[in-house]
Amino acid sequence: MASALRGHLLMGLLTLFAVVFWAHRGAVVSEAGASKNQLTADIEALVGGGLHPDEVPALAAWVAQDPRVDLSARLKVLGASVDAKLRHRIRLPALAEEDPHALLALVLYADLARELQAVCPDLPPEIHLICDSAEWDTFQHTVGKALLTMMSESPEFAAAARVGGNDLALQAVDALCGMGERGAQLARHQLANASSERSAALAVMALGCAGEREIDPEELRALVEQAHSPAASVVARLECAVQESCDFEEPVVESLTPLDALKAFSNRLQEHP
Amino acid sequence: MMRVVSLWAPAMVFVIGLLITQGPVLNPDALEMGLVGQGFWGDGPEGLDPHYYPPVFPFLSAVFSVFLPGHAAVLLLSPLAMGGLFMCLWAVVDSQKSAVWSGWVLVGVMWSSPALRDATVGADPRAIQLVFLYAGMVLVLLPSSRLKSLILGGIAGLLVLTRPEGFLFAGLLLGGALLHWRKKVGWAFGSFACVVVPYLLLVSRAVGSVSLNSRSWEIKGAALLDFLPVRSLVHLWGAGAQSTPFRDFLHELGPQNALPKGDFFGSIGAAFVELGGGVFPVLWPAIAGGFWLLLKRRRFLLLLLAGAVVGSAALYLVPMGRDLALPLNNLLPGVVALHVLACVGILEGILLLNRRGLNRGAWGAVVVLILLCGWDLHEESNQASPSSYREASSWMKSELPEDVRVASSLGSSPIVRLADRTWVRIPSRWERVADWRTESKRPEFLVLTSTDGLWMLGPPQLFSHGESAELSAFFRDEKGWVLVIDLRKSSRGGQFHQAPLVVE
Repeated sequence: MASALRGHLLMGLLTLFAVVFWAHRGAVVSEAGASKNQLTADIEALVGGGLHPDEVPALAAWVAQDPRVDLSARLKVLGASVDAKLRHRIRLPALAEEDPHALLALVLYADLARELQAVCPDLPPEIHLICDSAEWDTFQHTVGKALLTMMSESPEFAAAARVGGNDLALQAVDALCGMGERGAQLARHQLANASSERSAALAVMALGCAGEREIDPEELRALVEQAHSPAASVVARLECAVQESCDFEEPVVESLTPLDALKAFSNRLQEHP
Repeated sequence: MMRVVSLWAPAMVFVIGLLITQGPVLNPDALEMGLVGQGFWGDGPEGLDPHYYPPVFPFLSAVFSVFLPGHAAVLLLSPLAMGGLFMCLWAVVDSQKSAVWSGWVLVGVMWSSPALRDATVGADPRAIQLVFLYAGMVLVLLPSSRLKSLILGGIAGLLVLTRPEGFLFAGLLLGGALLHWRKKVGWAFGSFACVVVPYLLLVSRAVGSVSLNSRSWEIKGAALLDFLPVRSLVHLWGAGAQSTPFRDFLHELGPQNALPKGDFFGSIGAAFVELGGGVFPVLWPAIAGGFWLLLKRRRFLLLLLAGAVVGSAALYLVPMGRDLALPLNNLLPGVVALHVLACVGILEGILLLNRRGLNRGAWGAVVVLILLCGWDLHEESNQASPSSYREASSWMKSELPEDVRVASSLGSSPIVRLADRTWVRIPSRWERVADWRTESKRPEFLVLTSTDGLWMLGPPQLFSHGESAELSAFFRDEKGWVLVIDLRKSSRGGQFHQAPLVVE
């Protein structure tokens, strides 16, 4: 009996020791990681053509969107700068010499497209389409239509999104935000024709862009009223709260439903920007 | 002594074999639970709601953190719990005293499941939930006694204190006791109440209303999933134990029954599809055989196993229970039940070979099974973080000041936590505009990973409003990448300044 007890104790301790060793090794990081920083090398390789932008999408997106970066460097990484999920969802017609992903990026970075159009026709064939206003208009229309479709689709429940994750409809909203006035027009169109509460709310998000796009409160109010959507109304309050001057005041409601809670929250956000 | 070794050997091979072949997986929630647990002893990190997580995992990690670094204490619990689960399952499947075979068959069957392997090497309270559930089943299968009844009630109570869905499985155990024992069950209910009622009182007091669950606000807000994108909503109400202003508004809501419009049969069907996909296909005939055998000989055990499957599938009815990235995470009790059936089926097959005098054949069958089921053991868990994440932690630890505040998504928070730097959540896009303009609220660094995607770049744009944002570090490997962005206003020209890019 005593021998068996000793045996069990020994085996238990042996197991515990192995587990502790493994856990300790996994929970402690050394401080020798500084040498692994590949930032400078990868940026040089990226803009020098030694590294394909698709291998480093985050760097490509950063370089493409950073107005402080030289224009030619931004051009080189355009194709990979749009999130891969979005790129794969939008099917784009393009000629053999054209780069549809780079053109898509230019639709989403309206400022950069304008900058490039100023040097037309001295542009590489991959993106030369932007110099042809009619063709470019059609291309942008195709992209816009695809984005609006994505905003209308029902989401799959993704608890994974609580720890990050991707939300395609939200990516479409962010894309509309980069499209300048065209994006705003598409958002207005979406709000007027929203098929669900959620797509109406998304349209308002694409209109306000978290304070990045100046919106006229009166116009917003009229659009929201026309949409008859409680969700759009609440999101309009949130968008309004982050604008410099936007007035969407209503008395603070006592919370009854989750939407009322959101409404009360947005009122507080407006009071204390 | 040899008998003791032979009793321990299969469980040790199962656990230690996995530890040798798989690296640890640091779950962001578990790391936060470890921090909440540190608060039990004294000064925990500020801003964490101590009632958000059921207390068993935080408490146990706090106990082990007395002897070990905090993160190691968090990692330790799952392998130990899964070793305990192994012993419980062995007791369940070994009803015919075929111990020579059964332990090793169980090793092979459990190795065959990536979900069970992940549960062993991942820091997560679900492993503890499994050991409580199946320990309870072992107990219910025995003849009744007052002591067993008391212990069963305690175990059922601990299930409630381990995971938010604990009531489901506690109900299964108590219902099973009522059905099987009939007498002396009152003691089980009594001890269950003794464990659970004080906890519920504590939670209800913290929440401000009678509540069965510290996360009832999540259910109250779930209806908003019909109105807002998931990510926006999650940023508004916050992930994990970090409280947010909007969460306070949800707390104040009365009981809500407005769950998102979901398809009942679609959700349950999806759960069963995932369960089916989570089983090594070779095991399906054995599962069918095990089901048939239990139906003939041990219907009560079959009922309990079916309860575990149905209970876990029911979690798919609520949006929080359905995880598209890790679909089997919340179905683990059901996954274990299916593997128990497989084991019963295989053992019966081996006994059949034995009865026909095919001893060598029986041993051969065991060896082939173990090899077959464990052939991809060397492959890293798909839940394991890319090596670049660890490199980023290491860089932060050596390059960033100790008191620096680093923002990231909750999913990427282990990078920051492993570096022992202060992690801050990313507020909703609407709050971020105002919050990050305020020096005291603006984090000094932002971490963006391949798990997150590119959404953090905007809107609101990091470059807008005259804010400073410079690249600090980049790490990548074949599985992912990490980008560290310096948001400090005074960083221009400083240590982490990135020279402007100009290309000829």
